[in-house]
This record gives sequence, C-alpha cells and structure tokens, in this order.
Amino acid sequence: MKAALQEIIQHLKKKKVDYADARYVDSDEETVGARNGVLEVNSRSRSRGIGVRVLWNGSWGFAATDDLADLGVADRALAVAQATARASAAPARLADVEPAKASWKTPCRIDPFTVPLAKKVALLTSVSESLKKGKRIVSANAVYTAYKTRKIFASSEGALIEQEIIECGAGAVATAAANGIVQSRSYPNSHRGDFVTGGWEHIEAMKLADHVEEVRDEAEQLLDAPDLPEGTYDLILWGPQLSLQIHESCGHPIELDRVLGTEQSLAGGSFLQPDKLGKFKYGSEYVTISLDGTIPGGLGSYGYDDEGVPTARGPVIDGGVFVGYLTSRETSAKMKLKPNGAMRADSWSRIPLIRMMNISLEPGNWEADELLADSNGAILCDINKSWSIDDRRLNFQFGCEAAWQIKNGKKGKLFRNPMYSGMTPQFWNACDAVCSKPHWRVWGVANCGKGVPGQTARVGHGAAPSRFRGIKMGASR
Amino acid sequence: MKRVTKKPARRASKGAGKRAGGQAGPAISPVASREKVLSALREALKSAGGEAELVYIAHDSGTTRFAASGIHQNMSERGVSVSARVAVGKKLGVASVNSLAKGELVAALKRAREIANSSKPLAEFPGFPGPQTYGPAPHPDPAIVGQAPAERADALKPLFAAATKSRTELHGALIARTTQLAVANTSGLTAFHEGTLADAQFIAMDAGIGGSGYSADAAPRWDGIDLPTLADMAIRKCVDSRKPRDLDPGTYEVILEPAAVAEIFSWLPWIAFTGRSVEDGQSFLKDKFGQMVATDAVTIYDDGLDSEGIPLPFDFEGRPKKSVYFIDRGVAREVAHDVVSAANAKARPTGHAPFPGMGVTAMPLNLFVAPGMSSVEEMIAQTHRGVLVTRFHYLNGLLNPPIALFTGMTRDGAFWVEDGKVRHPIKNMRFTQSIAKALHGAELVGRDRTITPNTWASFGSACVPAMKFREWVFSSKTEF
Repeated sequence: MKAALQEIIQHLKKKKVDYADARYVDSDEETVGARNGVLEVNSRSRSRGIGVRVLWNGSWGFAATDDLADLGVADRALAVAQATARASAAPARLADVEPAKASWKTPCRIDPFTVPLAKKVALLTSVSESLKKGKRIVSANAVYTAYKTRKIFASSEGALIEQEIIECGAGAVATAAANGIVQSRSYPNSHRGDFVTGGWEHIEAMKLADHVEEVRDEAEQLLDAPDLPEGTYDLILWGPQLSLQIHESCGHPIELDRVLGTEQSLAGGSFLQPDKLGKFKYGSEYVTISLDGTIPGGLGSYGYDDEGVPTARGPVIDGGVFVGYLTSRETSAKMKLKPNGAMRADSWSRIPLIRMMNISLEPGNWEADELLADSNGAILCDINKSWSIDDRRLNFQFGCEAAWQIKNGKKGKLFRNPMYSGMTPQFWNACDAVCSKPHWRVWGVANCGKGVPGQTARVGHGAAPSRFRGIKMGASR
Repeated sequence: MKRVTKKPARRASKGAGKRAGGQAGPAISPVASREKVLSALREALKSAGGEAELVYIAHDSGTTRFAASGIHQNMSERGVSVSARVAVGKKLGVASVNSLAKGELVAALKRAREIANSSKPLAEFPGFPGPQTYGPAPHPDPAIVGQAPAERADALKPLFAAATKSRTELHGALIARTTQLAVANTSGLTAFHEGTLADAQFIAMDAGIGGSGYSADAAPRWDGIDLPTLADMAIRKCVDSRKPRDLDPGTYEVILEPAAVAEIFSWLPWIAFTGRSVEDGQSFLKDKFGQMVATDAVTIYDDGLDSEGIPLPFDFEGRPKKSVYFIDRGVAREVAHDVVSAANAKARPTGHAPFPGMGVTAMPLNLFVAPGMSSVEEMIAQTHRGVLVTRFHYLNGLLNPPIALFTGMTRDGAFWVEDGKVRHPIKNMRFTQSIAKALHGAELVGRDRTITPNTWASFGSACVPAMKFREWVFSSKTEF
C-alpha cells in the first residue's frame, strides 16, 4: 500500500495543494460475549480503506474509500477542499513538524488473535455461568474484545510511518434484582471492562474467574443496602471511577479544538480558555496531571498520531496550575504551541480529531491504608454507573456502583446508588491526598465519543486512590 | 420577549437542490445497484455449505461541518460492510468484511463457519427466516443522490452572512447521505432497501455576551429541511438568550422542545422498551403492562414504516418491521423483541433484530411520540412557573433504570416562564428526574414533530414533538 499512498501524494503535489496526507488503515476486531453461561456474541470483523486529507488554499477536504485501487479518492478530497473554500472561515495553517520516516508496534507478548477461539469461549461462558449462580442474580455477562490496527501514513512533506497497534480488554458484570430494585457490580471496570495496548497476557492477568464470587456477592448485598443519605462528605475515589473523573473534567476540556470552538456542534466547548493557560488554579497543589502517549500498556499509547506527529509526554496541570493543551498541527499554529501528537481518527473513513492519549493524575505520597486510616467517615466510591457533565466541562454528576463509609481505616457500611456532583475547579481544589506509585495504574476507557459523524476513541488514564474534601453526595433514587 | 418556535416549513432551502457549477466536488451516489448487491450476496451464499446469512450495509455521505460561520471540516465518505452469519445447528458465528467482492464474501462465510464451530449452541435460535413481504418505503431523493459538497457550501454561505449581521456565529453540521441495507440467507430470503437522509444542525453563539441557540431537523428528502428558517431560529434564540440570569435549583414545570424530548426518548428504548430490559428487571414497564404508566396524552411507539420518520422496512435479519406500541394513550402495552427475548417471553419477534455481532438485544430504531394538539406558545401560556428547554447535553439514563432516573444539562437556550410568558433567559441547569414519574405529569404534547437521527449509526431516528410536564427536578446550576 505504500506505493499507492505515495502515488496519491505525488498526484496531489502536482495539483499544488498546500498539504496532503493519505492514510491506509486495516483493522481487525474480535468480540466474544456470554450471558448467563450462553454464548451470545462470537464475531470477527475486518475493515480496510484509505482516507485522504487535502489542505488547498487554507481549506480542508477529506475523502475516503474502501476500494484500495480507487486512487481517484485523491481528486475527490481535493474537490471537497475546493468546495470548502466557497464558505470557509480563516485559512488553516499547520505548525511545522519534522516529517518522520518510522515504524512503531505495540509491545505485545501474546497476540490475542492467535489465542484459540475455543479458549476465549470457554473463559467467558464459564465466568458468566458462575456469576449467574447467585439466587438473586438476573443476568451475568462476560465480554472480551480485541483490536489490531495496521496503519500506513504518508504526507506531502515526506512523512512515511507504519504502525501496528494491538489493544484488548475484558470484563464481567452481575446484575441482581428483587422487589423492583436492580443493582450491578462489575470487574475490573464497567463499560465492557478494562482495556490496554498489549496482548492476551493482560486478559490472563485479570483473573476474571477469581473475582466471580466477590462480584456476585456484592451485587446481591447492594439489594439490601440503604441508599447513600444526602449530605456533604469527604470522598475517596478508587482508580476506575477516578479515571473517568479525569477523563471528563480534565481530558476533554484540554482538547484545543473544543477550546477554539470547532467541536461545538456535538461535544461542546471548554472552560479552559486560552487566557487561563499558565495561570489558572485548576486544582490543589496535590493535583499534577500529565499527558503521555508512551506509557507501556496504556490504552492511549501509540507511536505517531494520524498527522504523523510523534506522541508526546508533557504537563497539563502542574501542582494545580493549568499549563497544557492537547493539540493538532492546526491548533498548535493558532496558539504558537508545539504539536503533541493528539490527532487520531477511529477508522480510515474518518478525519483525525484531537483525542486524548493517556491523561493521568500523577501519584502522590500516601499509602492506601494510611489514607483510609486518616479518613474516618469518608465515603469511598467504586466503579462508574452514570456520567454527565455540561458542555464547557464544569458542572458534573457521577453515579457509582457501590459506596462504603470508612470506619477505623477500613470499608464499613455499604451504600447503594451513590452519586456525587460538583464543579470541576472546586472539585480538584478539594483534593488533599493522592496515593503513591505502587497504588497507581492506567485504566483504559474504550468508548470515548466525539465528532460528527461520531467517532469512538480508546484512551487511558493513570490514577491512584485520592481524597476530595467536602463533596456533595446523595443517592440516585 | 420575542421567541421563535414555529415549525420550519417543508420547502426547499435557498441554494439547495440546485446543481452547483465549477468545482462542485464528488456527488453522492448509491454504492451499488440493487441487482449488483443481491446478485453478489446470492452468489456468495452458494458457497456457504450450510445455513448462512449475509447482511450488507453501505453508505455514501457528505458531511459539512462549520464553526464560527465558516466550513472547517468537509468529508466525503463511501463504505460497505457485509456481515456473514453462519449457523452450525444452533451454534452461530459472525465474520464481517468491508467489500462486496466474491472472494471476500466467501472468505467471510468460511471464517464465520469456523467461528460457529468454536461456539456453543444458542438454544433459542429458530433458524434464519424464509422469504418475507415488506411494507412500502420512500424512494431515494434525487436532490440527495447526486448532491455535491459545493451545493452544501453554497446553501450555507448566506446563512453565515445572516449570523454575522446578528452579531452571532453559526456552528453545526449539514449532512446528506444515501444508505443501503440488504439481507440474504440460505432460506431464500432476500431484502433490499435504499434510503436517503438530509440532516441539519445549527448552533448560533455569541461568546461575548453568553447567548446560545439551537435548531435542527432531518428528513428523508432534501426539501424536507428548511435551512434558512432553521438558521434563523438558532440565531434568534441565541439573541434571546443573551445575558442569562441565575435560577435556583428546584422543582418547576418544564416545557421540553423536540430536541430535548428526543434526547430523553432516544434512551428509553434501550433501558425500558425491549424484552431484555423487562427480563432483567431494568424496565419501568415491568409488571405494569395494561396499567397506566403515563397520562393519556402520551403514546410512544416504534414503527419502521411510518413515513413521518426515516422508514426502514425490515430488520437486520430481514424480518418485516411492524409497529410496536410501548405506551398507548398512557397504558403500557408491549416491548420490542429479538428472537431470544421473544422465546423467553413466549412472544413473537417484532422486527427489531440487532446488527450481526452486536448481541441479541432488540433494537428499536424508529421511535415516535404521537403528536398532541398544542403549540409551544400554548404550552407557555399554560405555564405558571416553569423552564423552557431547547435541548439537553450529555444526558445519562443509567442512574437507576427501574425508575428511569435521568440526569443531563440544559444547553443552547433555557428560559424562565412565569404566568404564561417567557420572562428571561437563565443559565444552564442540571436536571435529575425520574422519567417514569414525569410521564404521570405529562400535561401537553406538541402537534409538530421533528426528526432527530441517530448520531452514532447509519440507521435510527426519533420523531417527537415538544412536551410539557407538570414537575421537573432541576438539581443544580452551572456558570453560563
């Protein structure tokens, strides 16, 4: 395909375009899912195609085709750019980057696509069958998904990059019901589980079968637990829920396309406007948040983005102060910033948008047992159930699967339907404790939506248990 | 305060439907002819070596996105997906490719058979359906088939100028698409549908003073959306919403315009209106069939053949769509079934089979709320103390499904209504409300409906009117 892409690029260079890139993507996806011991999903899909971006007189055009011999896609992209020019706003300019000639591959010990299907079927049917054994469990689901994406990127500036990215994840959820009350518990996370860049070794390390009893029992215990009484509490967020808190209230508002208003039509804007860069007190001194596309195993780890820019590491929130955005080449040029490799498309048929890589709360100094011992009466919330935030990423509300009141350094009384809410800067300024590196890990969020037409990105968030003082909480009832 | 709530007329937009001259760009066209598609599927099935099904989806779409009154993203996409589902006894396997080439389809069928051999039986699988008869669906619109991106640009340009005159900026998207769906199986079923979609969303913004307005519409035909009127509605709403005031959280009456109703009612099929959701105890209709679950003003149904929406005459197994009334004049009636939930409930499948490989939950894709008798102005006139909501943002209906507890933020225009009049714009509010409870207070239903297509897939839409509810819990507020 390299030759075809270069032919497209050469053709467009002859047409005197400002810039062009061509991206071949060949992606495989495998999903196996079981419910109540019955295999319900066993599917494999492959999708291949070429997407071409053209910048012509400062106006963008994009065309995509699944016909790999259809080099006319280049002229179509150019014609779309020329149509854009009839009603475009300010001309787009791109920040300079060194054109890369490189290849990159996800470190992976066991390619999930080489693992016998029967082994996956046996694991998931067995886990879901065991989960279903609780007397009040009405449904038990276990699911695994893997992705393998081969990409070749060529640009009119001379970049030529090959990548192979392997991602996989799995999870299990038990739902209990009685007397009109329905409660669920998940492992290791909700929303189809936890995902990484890497191989089947990650699925094995989850030890899904070892957690069946705990998940099933807690789902049933929640049926008998009281609703969390409304009030103001100190809140301890464990990794999975904290990862979504980072995602919604920090990851999205630092996307510079949102900030500059180009994603209003679906995703909305951001309260982190340029006048805040370098001076806004986003959080407390304990809050340091980084962007990093190089973390081994992080779901947002890759070599180069879909503009050919190498993925980066850098500060976003430094000791509570807002200092960095996720950028594209175009938004970088507008803001005179260095591009940090955040432009990704979810397939050959979509344009790249600014997407998160791994956006992580850096570890602090607390041991988890010290934090619990210091938090008598606090509420610990675990695993996300619902999520909502306003279109500038200020007012949020999250529901979790379960909550416990901390008593004498341990999880005490169990509450169901816990829900907490707040305003982003106030919330992060209420953070007074973050646990240390041994308690920190990257959680994968595999369903981040953005754009029109809708695109789904897979991103990561490093987090360790953390405490937030004086948070408004209650029950979703 | 002057408000714009009138329904856009179903007439051609200025500039739309005309063929642009010069470098107009790639025209939208069907990906393949009906004959070519069905012939390719039938030919490939000859190699299946047993029970098998092929589901073909293709689209050619033009998406023109704009921000700050200028086009910034402009896309021409053309793609095919074919899913092969093979049954070995009651063991199923699915393999998909994005090509109609015979070699690819044969390889997909072979792969699906290998997967089926590694599967476990799905006891409820009844086999693939035989030949079916389908209801009518509209023909593709020639103003969409053949449309070039320059036509969309030319239609938008005067609207950008109008926004500038009002000291606002337009953001949004204008989409034209042709979509094909075909199903063929070894039991002799063949089905083919080709549809078109015109979809427009406008957000007018005034970043300086804080105003924001929204309007949107969609239709199977290009002349079904009135771009100048939609843009004008968004601009005037933005102007009206400048300098919003704080409103204390509390319980108020609420008028939800169609976009807000669509946001909520598009969630309900997934958490409440399928056999699976009843089976799992998640649905607020469970144990309430035959009982009043709403006021008699409320009728909610799914109908793939209703020409007021975006028709789709059959599901992803080729079973004919039929209307399913979830709530009929306030009474809980029925839910949508796939083959598994139908077997468990001793009911019949309702033509809501999911796309192969997506599990077995029924997919209601053509949601409707039956129209009532009121205009939005009449709803305002009958409101003592309430909030008029244009649309919601980041809605979530997973808080507590058995009571359909939802949360979300208002967006792009929220207004305080008192003693029958709109008094002033308000800053955005969060609501946290049980929809199961709210339906018992549904007082008025609008007479005009708007189509909202599914943002995330080629199929699916909600066709709903404005609604007024007696009580709505606004739980907190934000800063803008």
